[in-house]
Amino acid sequence: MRKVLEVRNLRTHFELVEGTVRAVDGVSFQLNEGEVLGIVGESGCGKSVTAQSIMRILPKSARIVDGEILFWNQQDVVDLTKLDSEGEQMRNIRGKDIAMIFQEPAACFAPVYTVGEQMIEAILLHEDMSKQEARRLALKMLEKVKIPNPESVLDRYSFQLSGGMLQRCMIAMALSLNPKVLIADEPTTALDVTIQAQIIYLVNQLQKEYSSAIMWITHDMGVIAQISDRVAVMYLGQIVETAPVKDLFRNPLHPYTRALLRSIPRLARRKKKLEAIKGVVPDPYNLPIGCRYHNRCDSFIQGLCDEREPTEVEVDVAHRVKCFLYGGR
Amino acid sequence: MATGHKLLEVRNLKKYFPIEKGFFKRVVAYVKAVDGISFDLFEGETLALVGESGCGKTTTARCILRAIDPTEGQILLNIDGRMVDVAKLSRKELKPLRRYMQLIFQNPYTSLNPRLKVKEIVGEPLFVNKIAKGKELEEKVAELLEAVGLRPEYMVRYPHAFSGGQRQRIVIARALALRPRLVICDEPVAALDVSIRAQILNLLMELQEKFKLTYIFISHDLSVVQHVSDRVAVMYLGRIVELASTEELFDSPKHPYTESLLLSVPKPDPEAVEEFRPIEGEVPSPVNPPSGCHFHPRCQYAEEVCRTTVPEFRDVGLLENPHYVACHFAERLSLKGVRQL
Repeated sequence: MRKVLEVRNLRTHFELVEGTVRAVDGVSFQLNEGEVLGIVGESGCGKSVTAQSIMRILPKSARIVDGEILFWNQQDVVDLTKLDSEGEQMRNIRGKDIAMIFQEPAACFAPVYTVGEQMIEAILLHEDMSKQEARRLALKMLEKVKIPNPESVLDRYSFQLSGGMLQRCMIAMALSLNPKVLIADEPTTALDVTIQAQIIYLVNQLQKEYSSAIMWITHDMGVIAQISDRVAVMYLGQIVETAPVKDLFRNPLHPYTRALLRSIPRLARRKKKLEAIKGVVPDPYNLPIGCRYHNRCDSFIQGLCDEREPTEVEVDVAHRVKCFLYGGR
Repeated sequence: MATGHKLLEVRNLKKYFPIEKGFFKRVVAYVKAVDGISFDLFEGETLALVGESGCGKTTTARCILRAIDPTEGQILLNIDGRMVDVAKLSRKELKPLRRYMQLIFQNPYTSLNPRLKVKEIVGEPLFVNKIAKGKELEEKVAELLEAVGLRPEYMVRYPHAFSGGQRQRIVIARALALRPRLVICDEPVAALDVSIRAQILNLLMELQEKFKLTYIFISHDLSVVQHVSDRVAVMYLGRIVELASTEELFDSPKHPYTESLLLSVPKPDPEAVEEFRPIEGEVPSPVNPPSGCHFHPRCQYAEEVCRTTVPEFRDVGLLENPHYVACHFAERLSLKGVRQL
């Protein structure tokens, strides 16, 4: 499998009046051609900031302070952190080679232009074709994402379409330029379950046709299990465990992953009390010293976990974990 | 657990919202948010209302609390053995009854007044109902905070100092201040993170036992519903399509919509990734719902009769274990429950 994207030791920090928030703090992972990498974590763990760092669409207060984001574009390798976020080269990559779909589709389409106008504009920005050709491509893409009456949807405004339909339009728009990497940031969170199931089914189908590598961000372990090949679990700005999806669910190693899997209510397994994770996610301005999970951890080792930060160890093929229980000293 | 005493009887409840147009506010159509639903609620049980957005779950809750006035139907609340029709009472008559019913909201970031201290938020119901004041009020607030797992010293803080899960605990403490009989939980964990969700669900179940509460639990998340509820009512476009005990409903659903809801939940198990075809289409508009059975355009088992006739909401279960369903073919279909998945 060929690498298309590799993130090395990425650190993205926010400089705010109250202090520095180390939202992403030493994240490394790679994304291979044609695979779906699921990134799972709770709010504030840095999963969206990681995505925004790759796309270089961070808010003004954020800065990439360290690390590399390597992107394989044909023969060249570019480090996206070195590019000007508003420069020509990054603008060419963004939307064409790396596309993104967002959680709130209604917020991503402007209400004053039709869906078609916006899709066509995106295509024309990157491709040298006529307006008619672009319209035909947009139409073809809407058919691909199974929108009924695609012709009429092209001429409608975002507020005339339901959330599920708009999410399909956004997927169509993102895939229309056949990107190498597709970043999906919680694309089904705002949708109802039956619509979510439709979108997951659709993406699984499209994945077979387009060879795009997908980075799928979510907080939902169910969605992760259904869609990804590999999973990275994030906690407070760091990846604590990476594994192939079956390994992760069958043999979770990091105490946080284990607790997370135990705490979700499951269908067909009714039990009166859920095993909750104790405590709350710590204040981002004062991160715990040592392992960031130590104050909520069941296997906390005094004098070790609260003093030093574990390094990542490879426990099994492609199964890496950042915890002293498995070495990492 | 349920005692068998009815706490609430809802009969043919309807809520239509008019759509007005033009200068004279002419009514051009109605949104039939709740369209003739009936159910009983027994003391000490948890009844879940599930369904997708726009199916009328929250409107039902707001009608029961008389936060809005229902268009039609009866809401009989058992007050010490007397059934009182909440739907018919005037504002003034309602006031003394309000304390029997409380609501826990979805979003703890918007349901707490940022200018009030926790002491004032939790104490307000006690104060306005003249139950306690001064030192006694503070003691009661402290007791409530302890019951929901917060340190009593926190009562001098403002809501912004708390995390989402802690805020939801404050909301729960406020709801319990008047020792209500019925608590309506409207998506109480939907806005919370996974690791916090379990804490709040456990707390709600503990408090139910401790304070002998009856819950109406509104949620779109079936795995949460299965975990907390004794019985489940599935709603679709303003109607209840199925109502049964939780186990019965999840193991052997009788309505095709329930089956597809169960199938749609992504299972946290990569070994169970199967190539199922999710149901197509979306929930139609409640302004102009499909004729007959509302679900027929999306139903793979639909026949001509489904287009023309509204199916009766009837009991197809055994004597001891009633199972209500509104489907013409409930007896004929054999649908998949979660165990067969």
